[in-house]
Amino acid sequence: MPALIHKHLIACIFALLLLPCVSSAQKIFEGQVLDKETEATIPGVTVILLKEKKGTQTNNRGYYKLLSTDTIATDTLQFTSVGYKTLKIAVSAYEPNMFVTLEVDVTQLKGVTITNSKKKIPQIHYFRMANIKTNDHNNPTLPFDAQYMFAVLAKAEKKHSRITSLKVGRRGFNDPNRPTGYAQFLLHILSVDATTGKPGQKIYTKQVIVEDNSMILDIDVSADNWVMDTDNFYIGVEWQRTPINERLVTGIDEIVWKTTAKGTQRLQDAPTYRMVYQPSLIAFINGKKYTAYYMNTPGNWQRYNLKISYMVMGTPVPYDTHIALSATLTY
Amino acid sequence: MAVYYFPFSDISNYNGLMMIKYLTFFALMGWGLTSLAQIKMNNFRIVDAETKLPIPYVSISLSRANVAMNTEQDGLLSIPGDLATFRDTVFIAAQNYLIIKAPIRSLNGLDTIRLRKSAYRPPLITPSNTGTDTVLNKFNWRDVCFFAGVHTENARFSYLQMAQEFDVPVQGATLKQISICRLAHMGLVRMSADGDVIIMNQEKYVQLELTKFRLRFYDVDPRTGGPGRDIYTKVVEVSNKDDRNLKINLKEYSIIIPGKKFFVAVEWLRTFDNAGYAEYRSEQNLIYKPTLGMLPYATGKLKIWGLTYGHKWQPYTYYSPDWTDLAISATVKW
Repeated sequence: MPALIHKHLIACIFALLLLPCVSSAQKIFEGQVLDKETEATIPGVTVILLKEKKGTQTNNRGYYKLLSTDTIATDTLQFTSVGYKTLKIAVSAYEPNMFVTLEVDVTQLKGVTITNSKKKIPQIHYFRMANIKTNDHNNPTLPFDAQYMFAVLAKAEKKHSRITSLKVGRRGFNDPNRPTGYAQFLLHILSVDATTGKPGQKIYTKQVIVEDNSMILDIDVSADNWVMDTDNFYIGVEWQRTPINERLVTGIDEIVWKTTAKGTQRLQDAPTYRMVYQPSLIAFINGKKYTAYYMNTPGNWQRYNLKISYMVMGTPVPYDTHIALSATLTY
Repeated sequence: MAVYYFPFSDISNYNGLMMIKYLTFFALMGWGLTSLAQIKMNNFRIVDAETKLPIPYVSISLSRANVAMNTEQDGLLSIPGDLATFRDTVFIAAQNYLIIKAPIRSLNGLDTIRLRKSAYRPPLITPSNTGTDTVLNKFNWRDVCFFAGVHTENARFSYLQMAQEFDVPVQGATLKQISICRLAHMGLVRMSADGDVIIMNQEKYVQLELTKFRLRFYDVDPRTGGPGRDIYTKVVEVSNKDDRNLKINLKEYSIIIPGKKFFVAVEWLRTFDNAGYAEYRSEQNLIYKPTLGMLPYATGKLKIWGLTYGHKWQPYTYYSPDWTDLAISATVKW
């Protein structure tokens, strides 16, 4: 009899030890859902935690946020959308703010003739999801240093193009304590100054307000009739310098703590803080030629030439970078 | 790479803290650094009037010059310049002592400043025992992306303390825990002088920066609706905290809240180890850890108060009307 009690006691303890593995505290699942081929954001995707039976839908930026109050470790996130294959991800495989890609389900498109020829959609300074993924150590996101504006030269294949959308990659979540959150900013199309080649007059402007943690912002301007007379123009981002749009970034610098009698300086790290404004644009490494300017004091455009250095065998090796800012055109 | 150089760093008698103090006073009181050699130094020791023992972390602030500093553990304070010519009001304050408010020129010729103990003691309250534990101003630390405690390009941050207002259902609740979300760096990225970004050796910065500060607890001032008198007289000092989400267990202090409204304030300690730099009007200025998170929720009522260098509590309106609360939660038992 005592042996039987002992056996049951061990079983109970074992079961109790397993409990935390089965159920844990609340957790937030969030991210963006993209088309696997085009990488366009997909609105209206249903996202469900199958066992907990909680669900939500992606918004017009393909962004979802699902609060799990009692996360089950063996649960599965399911993504479903008409025209796409259903995707399931184990919650154990979920990474904070991850991109999820859905594949088009051709079997559902009955009555539609599918050909291999793809209509070419002209995109200027196209960037891919892979360029801005924060968990890829080779493509880190960095705080962008411009204070007022940033503009990149766009060269269309011909004149009289129509801009249908603009795409912005903004700084994400390499620090889970500091979500990207709210952002408001202006997007501009600017002329090319005939004398200097720098950004000139503002031709078109659109205000963008983001209230979620989306990293890829697809801004549809097809209804705004942005037609360009010239083949060269600038795409610009202007930061709105209001408190609600601020973001505090930290760094370190060195102070001279002490100078010895022999004149040797002893240095000590001290934290530095500075405000940047949303959105924090993403720099990524790209080998192609790129003409861009930034403005740190009003009216003063300076050439953008940020290099990211990696320590290779103890030596910093610099690489040219682009900013994740692109435009889609029709002719 | 910018290197901050303290002009007195080759004087072996002075430690780094004193250098910070000198630099702050010089920079903000308009003294030219070229004339340092001729400047008179006024050295004080701030002590308890009865025991004659030095008082650590006494707050000294000048309302007009907008300058504040602390004594260290030794109660020492140095002010450069001819005090007889200064036109400003100095406030000398420490928990449980009467505040000195005087023209700064009245300190001229002194070497010791004596603070008298305050006779005020909070009333003894019978703890309530009718309810359960409740978390007030509960927040998810992942939502915190705004921070108070640093200068911005357009606004100087000039507060000695910042307080969050709380409401409790009954009188006599016991304060059990405070949680504070702050911003702390790992120092992974450094910008070189020509604008290049260098990814630093991450192993060097495996630990978050440490901080040290004090917590203060106040009842409500019926005249202003802001923080009033201390409801707890023992010093609650939080040190060596290297987390971004600080949890401070207060069970050992038995802090009883006398009314249905109270305030929890963070008092910054202006020490060398707490010092950092933030830009204000394109110049680097000293600030002190910890930065305090703001909650990105609008509640319709501003519940944040700041204690100015002139020792007046005023609503903190920098993020108004958008954000109304600090990322400080309080667990109470009632």
